[in-house]
Amino acid sequence: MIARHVYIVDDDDALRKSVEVLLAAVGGFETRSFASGNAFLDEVAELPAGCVLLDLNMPKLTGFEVLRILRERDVRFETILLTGQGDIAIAVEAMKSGAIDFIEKPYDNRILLAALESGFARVEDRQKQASAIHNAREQIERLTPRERDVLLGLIDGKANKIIAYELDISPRTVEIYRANLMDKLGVRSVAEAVRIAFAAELVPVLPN
Amino acid sequence: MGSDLRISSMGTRNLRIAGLAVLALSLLGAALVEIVFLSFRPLNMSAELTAMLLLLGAAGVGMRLVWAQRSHAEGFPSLGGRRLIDALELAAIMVVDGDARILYWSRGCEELFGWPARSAIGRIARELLHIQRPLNPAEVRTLVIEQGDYHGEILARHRDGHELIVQEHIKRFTDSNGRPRGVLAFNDVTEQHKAEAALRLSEARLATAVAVQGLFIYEYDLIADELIWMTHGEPFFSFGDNEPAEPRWQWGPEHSAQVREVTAAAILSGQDRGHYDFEFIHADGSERLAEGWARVIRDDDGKPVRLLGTHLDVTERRAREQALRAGEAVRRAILATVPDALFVCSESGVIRACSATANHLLGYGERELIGHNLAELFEDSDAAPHRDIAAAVGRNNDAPWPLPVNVRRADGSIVPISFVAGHSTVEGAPLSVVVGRDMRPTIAAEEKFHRLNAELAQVSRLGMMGEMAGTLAHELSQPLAAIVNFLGAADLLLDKCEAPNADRLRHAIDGAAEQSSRAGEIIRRLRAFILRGEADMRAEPLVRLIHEAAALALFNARSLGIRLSYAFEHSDRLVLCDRVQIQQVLVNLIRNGADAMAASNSERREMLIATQLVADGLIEISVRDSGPGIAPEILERLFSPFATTKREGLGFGLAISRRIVEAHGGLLSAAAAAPGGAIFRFTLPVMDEGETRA
Repeated sequence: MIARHVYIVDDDDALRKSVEVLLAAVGGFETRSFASGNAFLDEVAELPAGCVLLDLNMPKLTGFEVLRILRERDVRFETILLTGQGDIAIAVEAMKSGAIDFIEKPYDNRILLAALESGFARVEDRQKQASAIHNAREQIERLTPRERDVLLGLIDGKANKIIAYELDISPRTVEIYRANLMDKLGVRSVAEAVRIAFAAELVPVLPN
Repeated sequence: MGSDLRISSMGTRNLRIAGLAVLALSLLGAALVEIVFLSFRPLNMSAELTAMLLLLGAAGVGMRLVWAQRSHAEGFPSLGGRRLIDALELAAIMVVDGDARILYWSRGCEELFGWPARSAIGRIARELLHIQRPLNPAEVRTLVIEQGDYHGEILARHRDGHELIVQEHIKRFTDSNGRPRGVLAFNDVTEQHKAEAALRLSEARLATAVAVQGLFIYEYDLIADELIWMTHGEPFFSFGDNEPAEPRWQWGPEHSAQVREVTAAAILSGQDRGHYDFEFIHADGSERLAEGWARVIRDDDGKPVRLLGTHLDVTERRAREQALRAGEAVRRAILATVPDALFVCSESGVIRACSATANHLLGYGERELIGHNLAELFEDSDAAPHRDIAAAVGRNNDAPWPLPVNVRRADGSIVPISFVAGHSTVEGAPLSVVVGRDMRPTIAAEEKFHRLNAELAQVSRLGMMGEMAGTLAHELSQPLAAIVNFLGAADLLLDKCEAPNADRLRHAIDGAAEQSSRAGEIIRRLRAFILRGEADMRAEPLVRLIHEAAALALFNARSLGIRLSYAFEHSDRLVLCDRVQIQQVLVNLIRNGADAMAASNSERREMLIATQLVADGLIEISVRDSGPGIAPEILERLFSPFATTKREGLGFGLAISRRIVEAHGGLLSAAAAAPGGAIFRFTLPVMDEGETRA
């Protein structure tokens, strides 16, 4: 199982510690604490993807400011805002600024854990998606230029004979390239091959 | 003499009577001579008698004859005509011989000189009567001998010693025996001389009076259409020494026409008096204004024959009257327009005049208040302040001004009026000028001010409580959250180890967690209670809102000497806000600036409140001061509760202000201002034109 990285950004030492202890007790989390927004942002580029527990009311950079900067720089993190004094206006602002949740302190542990759960679901989804794209690109990379041309013809829904005519090769040769690229992509149907091509962003999903 | 008497119509009338009398008596005298000649010549009249009669007729003596009082002529026995003798006896006549010894002494002489005939006859007339002539006796004698007669005025002495002025007529003749004789007839002119002297004096006085007054008097002959007499015109026409021999009219044709109009009107109406104004050019070249009065004199048939008139130079008087009228006009204008209730009172408080505002304020008509005592208007004239003002009106200058008094209007309602009185003396009479100002607008303004202040204080209290609760909630929520976390961890750990009393431990931990959550809930509810639905969002005129806030904020001694200026991007801008809350923010910012400037004791104490449109329908309001500015270490935690540089402050002001501004969808920020001081800015949503009209 992939380590779930939780970054605790709060100016209150006791609170940071208590969250660490809680998550350690639950298990399955890698926690790191930062006493200020700046301390977190300074290191964020090197940090693995994960969830941020961000306190709203901090001196210097507030939670909102940290969140805004984070979203400009890096999209690999999901943020849960925590505040000691919540109201509707702050909640709305929190959602608008891209936090996935907004929790008033003190909170029930289960609420925090549920928020983390959904946060990691999104993180992992994004990771899966990212690896799928990565795989598709690798597969497409393995194709020869001719195999890629044939694939583009297939994506456009052209018949073998048309592809052969346009590429100035025999239909038989087209058949061979097609078999090879299907083999290399590890697919059994043209539809599957097209999906990989889209994932690898070989062609735009929508025609121009 | 005739001209002397024409100075007044009354004099003229007397003169006329006197003249008629002279004429009548002269005629009578002539008639008498005729009678004597016609009646007595054939009767062998004596030469003496004839001479006397001739003398009498020629001299016209007889003015003083009173026929009825005389009935006989004793001592003249040689005359036959009884009536004639009676007549002659009444005249003052004596006959003297060559030595001037009296031979005959008439009854008239007895009366004139006081000597009876028996005492006079035989005496030397000159000695008896102490006669003083301009010529000596010898000269007189020579004259009489050469000319046959002599006329002259002499001074004679009455028997009782008083002097008489007498006209003397001497005629020489020879008696039947050839002896030289003289007949002397006397006419007493003493009274006449006295009258003339009195008249001369009177005329001199009149001339002086006329000269002093600048009066010009003239008499005009209406029949001949010419000026027949006038006073010296120098004060009037400035002839000076060069008065023309020929009287000449100095007025123009216009004035002549006026005189004719007066005459014509008099003739038409039968009225004998007329009045006219006219302008003339004085000899010194100045334009003058004169008043003329004229009186028409009629003859016995009622026909206008003469016009007596006077002119008076009224240039200065008219100018004075004009100035007086102008002064009066100014006074009226003041009373009509002065915006206060102004009363001019006598010493006892009786209203002499009052301003239009006074009538309007008290609901009275234009002259209704005049003559009433000011104290009658007071609601309760026995109350102390009312006595004070009543006394003050009565010249008690020690009264503490201004005095607030409730005044009863005409309709019975009460107006609070603040009075101030001043004293003056006009032409010796003490006058009080009492000025009353309607206090209702001031009271209303004060009430509004206090209400605004109270509103702000309420919001301030609520804001402070909310801020404290918020701070408390934040500060407590941290440890509470930590407790909950720790308890959660303990609970989880309990699952993993085989503790003997696991259930009971879990029960205790759950309980602790529950109470922690409850504590958090209590704090949340407290905050919610204090911050619940306060905002009353309306479209508010920003400029007025700022002006009010500035007035409230700077209403204290520390704000003295601050030069406050404004720079509004628009004077009619509307903003969407809760007025009281935003004023609370402004009051906070303005007071902070004022306090900072007061604390630094800097000479330059300037504050600028400006508005500026920024993007997205937001307007930025900035408050800049020239104080010492904000220290960097303070700037960091400026908006946190308990952050204060003020000894007596709690440090909530800016925290609350920021919360309010944020609740309005704006931002509050602070920065250092150039060249010194601090600038606070916050934004508010603008109501655009369309929204304004809706």
